Amino acid sequence: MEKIGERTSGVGRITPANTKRTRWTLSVIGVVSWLLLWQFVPRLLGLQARYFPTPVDVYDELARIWEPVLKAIPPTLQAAIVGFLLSLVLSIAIGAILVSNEAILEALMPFIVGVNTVPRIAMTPLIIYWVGFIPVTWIDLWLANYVMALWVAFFPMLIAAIDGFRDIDEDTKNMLEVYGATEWQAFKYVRFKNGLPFIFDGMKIGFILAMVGAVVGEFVSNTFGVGSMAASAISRTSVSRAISIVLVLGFISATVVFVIYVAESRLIFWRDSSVMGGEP
Amino acid sequence: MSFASNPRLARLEQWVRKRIPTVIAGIAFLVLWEGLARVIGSNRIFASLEYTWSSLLEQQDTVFIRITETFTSVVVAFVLASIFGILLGVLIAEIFTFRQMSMPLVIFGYSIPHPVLAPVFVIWFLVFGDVVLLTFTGPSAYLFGDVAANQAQQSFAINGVTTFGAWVGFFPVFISTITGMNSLEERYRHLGQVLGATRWQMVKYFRFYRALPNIASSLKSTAQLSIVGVIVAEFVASGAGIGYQIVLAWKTAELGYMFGVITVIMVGSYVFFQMVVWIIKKLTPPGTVS
Repeated sequence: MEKIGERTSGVGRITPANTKRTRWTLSVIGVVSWLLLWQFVPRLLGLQARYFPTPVDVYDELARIWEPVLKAIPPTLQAAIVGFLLSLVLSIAIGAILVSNEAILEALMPFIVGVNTVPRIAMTPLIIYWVGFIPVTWIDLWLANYVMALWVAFFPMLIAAIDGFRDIDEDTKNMLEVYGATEWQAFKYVRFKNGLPFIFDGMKIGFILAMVGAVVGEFVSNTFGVGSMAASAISRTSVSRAISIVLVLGFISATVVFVIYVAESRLIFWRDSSVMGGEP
Repeated sequence: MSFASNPRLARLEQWVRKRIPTVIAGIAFLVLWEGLARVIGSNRIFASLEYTWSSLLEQQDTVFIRITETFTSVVVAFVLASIFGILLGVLIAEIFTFRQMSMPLVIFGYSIPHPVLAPVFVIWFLVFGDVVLLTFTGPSAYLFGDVAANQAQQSFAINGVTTFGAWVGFFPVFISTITGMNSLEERYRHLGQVLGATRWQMVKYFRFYRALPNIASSLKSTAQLSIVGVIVAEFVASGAGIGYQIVLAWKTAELGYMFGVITVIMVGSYVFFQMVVWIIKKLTPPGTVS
């Protein structure tokens, strides 16, 4: 996303001095006016509160189901976080190995891109089916949610890592060759640092995707968690319940994405970071 | 090259060449699949190619009806996502105040793990009914003798599944439109000013064209995500489309059918994706999309 300051030069609508305050003020006005619209428009149009709940209705519902929601969050979040961290470690490790070997990378790239293109989420029931076959007593269907988080988040993060590790200009490549750097040295001193911005962009998308995987896993297997709770709102046709769960989950992942963003802007001081992480 | 003299043949050769890695990957995938199945040796854990194929053929009419249903929904979702994404993107990129006001909401909406929203969409249309745009008799009525015309009845509709698919596919095209519109180079902005372009002309002739490559490449992601959205919605809204067929296959523990249906989805998504890329290439100026 473009920084706002860049636009000001030719247009002259705002000066750099008050830009930041203007932006924040406008954002707050935006959120407040959205809430007001949401509160009053359904009533003015005479829509049923049952199907078009206002923010107040949603708040009431959230307060009512707060306890069960608090209980439902940990399993889902745990699956998403474990899947996400595994994806992160695996994507960097496998990405590094693949990049150091051009021939294997070229051979595997059609697979990786292919798997990334098809809707991996369609395999949810299959993964749950397989997990059901594992003959270990303490493992249950909930493991499928962890696998789903990993399966959905891994490939975009792997591609981000590979792109980052490969994004080296000709001069640096020549330098590595002249110094006679080994693959490990090339990775340690050049590729990893070079790939960091890409990896962070992958992480922002990856975490949301891990949540997606965990939630869909719960949709299908109906194991206890936020996803199955949201799905149960359908049979009750309770829109306010569905929306309050959406808000809670949105808040959680927005917070995590923001934390990643802050870590990125601290760690990668040589480049501007963005919350949205480039193209999703 | 002997084909060099004939441009059409040369282009054909180029087209075939570009597909070679995909074909090799596809064959390698099938070999791997069959090899794994042989090693595991149980159709209950890993269905062999032959078992998958026969299970699929057994229910070919259902699969065909459902896959048509799903991809009809995907088309509607994709079109809705593209229209709303581009229109809102242009609007928000152009009006600074509006952009700043909506930014927190956009970021929040983007970071919601989208499946959790599916129930909201499904409930709304459950209550108020679908908006049917066009009803047609699906191709399965002509292809299979035992499928009656009313069984193959299918429709382009705005319903819980398609609107949810559109929501999932919306963000890439929306964000790319904004990014592209705002990356117009300084010199073109000056050119527009010198030529005395109005604001609308500036959008129409400069900024939208600047955004076209971004929009075109983001439409590819939108195509993929619309499929994801539609399938997820079908998981939740029991009864609809191929997504429900996979869940059904899981519940009845028919692994061959499950493998078959998933393969059909993968092939269908590949074809849909290639079609979208082809259409984008035809519609946009040459070189817009790689």
